[in-house]
Amino acid sequence: MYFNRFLYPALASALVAVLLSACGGGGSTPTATGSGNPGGLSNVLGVTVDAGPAGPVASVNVLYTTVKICKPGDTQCQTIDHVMVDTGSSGLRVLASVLAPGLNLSRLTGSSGLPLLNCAQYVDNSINWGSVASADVVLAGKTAANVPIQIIGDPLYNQLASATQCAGSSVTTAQDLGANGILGIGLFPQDCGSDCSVTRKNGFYYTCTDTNCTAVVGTTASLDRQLKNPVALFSSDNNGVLLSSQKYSGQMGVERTTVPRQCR
Amino acid sequence: MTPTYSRLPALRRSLIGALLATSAGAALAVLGQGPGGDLPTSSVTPALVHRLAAAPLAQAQAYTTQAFTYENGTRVVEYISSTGQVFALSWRGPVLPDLSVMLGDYFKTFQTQTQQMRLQGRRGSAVNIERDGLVISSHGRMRNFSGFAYAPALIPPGVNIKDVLQ
Repeated sequence: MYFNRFLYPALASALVAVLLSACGGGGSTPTATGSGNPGGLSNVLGVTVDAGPAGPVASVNVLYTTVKICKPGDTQCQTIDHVMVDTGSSGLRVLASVLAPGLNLSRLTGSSGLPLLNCAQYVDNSINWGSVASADVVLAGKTAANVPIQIIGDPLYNQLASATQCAGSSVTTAQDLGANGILGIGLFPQDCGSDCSVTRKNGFYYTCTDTNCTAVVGTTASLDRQLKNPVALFSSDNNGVLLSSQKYSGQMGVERTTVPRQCR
Repeated sequence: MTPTYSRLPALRRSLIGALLATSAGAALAVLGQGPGGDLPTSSVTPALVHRLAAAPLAQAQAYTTQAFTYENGTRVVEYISSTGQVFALSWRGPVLPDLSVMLGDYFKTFQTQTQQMRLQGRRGSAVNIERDGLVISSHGRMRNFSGFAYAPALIPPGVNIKDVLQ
């Protein structure tokens, strides 16, 4: 979360774009302008820097984008604005409080068949705690199907937040998070990786101890159940991300910041 | 109750359990208190050998170190003065250790300062605090956290903390 924000200047309204796949070779290299879906290209996602979702504390140097999530294979979708773009984490995390009740994403289960829960820690000791659900994730014109995402503060399991073994201060509101969700497009395909598929007490994944979920315990999570950088799941344009912005006059703007990933 | 740390020997758990009756049994060293386990002595059991620190550093008389790696892969080092007080801690690994336990009474300062950062719109940012007898740095990213904390007032005389934490 929130790890590389210092790369961006504090601007009331700036426009930058994420080029999905730009590791040289393959994929186009369009000129990014405007917001939303700049240039109408399917692999260019508009992003912006602004004060963030409504709340008394304006965000500083946070890059936001808009993400569409759908029930897997379904046309029932929800568009969520002000999702923080984060190059320091992997996986999409969305606040339960902003999810439309009707979307009703199905929750994933762990190896025991009981709900799979995810812990995301950040350097200031804040955490996101919540269930893992499956969704199709749409970024600009690209779709990643059946992506495990985290529902932050899922009311089905959030009563456990204070008792969780996920160490840190739990963040569950847009005001506290400074966003409606976090889009982690960091260096790794999964948030944890192979360690979590073999180690039970891994610090990332937990499951309920019983059907009423009166307590949680660490659990292994196979790679296919872990949160993922959605870009890596695209059928094409899937081997990297480029963050690109206009040059800001009179400001110390970042013109191009690459985030190479899986470039071969 | 904190599975992350459960590989610690039972002896360590029982000692810390007594120290931290309200900490849900997390077996961690606590800044400003005694070390998380028994000090390295001639009576160390084989089970303890794995987690004992490498040979004491140059300033051996002034302090000792103990290190342990948790099942989640995070390694914590505690720096212990000759009087048995933990005056510094450092950590590195995929999981951020439980700072609310490790920092002991100093956690309140950490919490106040990080909440202040968030109220200024700096949420989730790297932490560098020097205040109220605590120095702490926390940085990194998911899967790779690192940091250190120390209490300047507790540093043994003649010890340069920069050498200790390098």
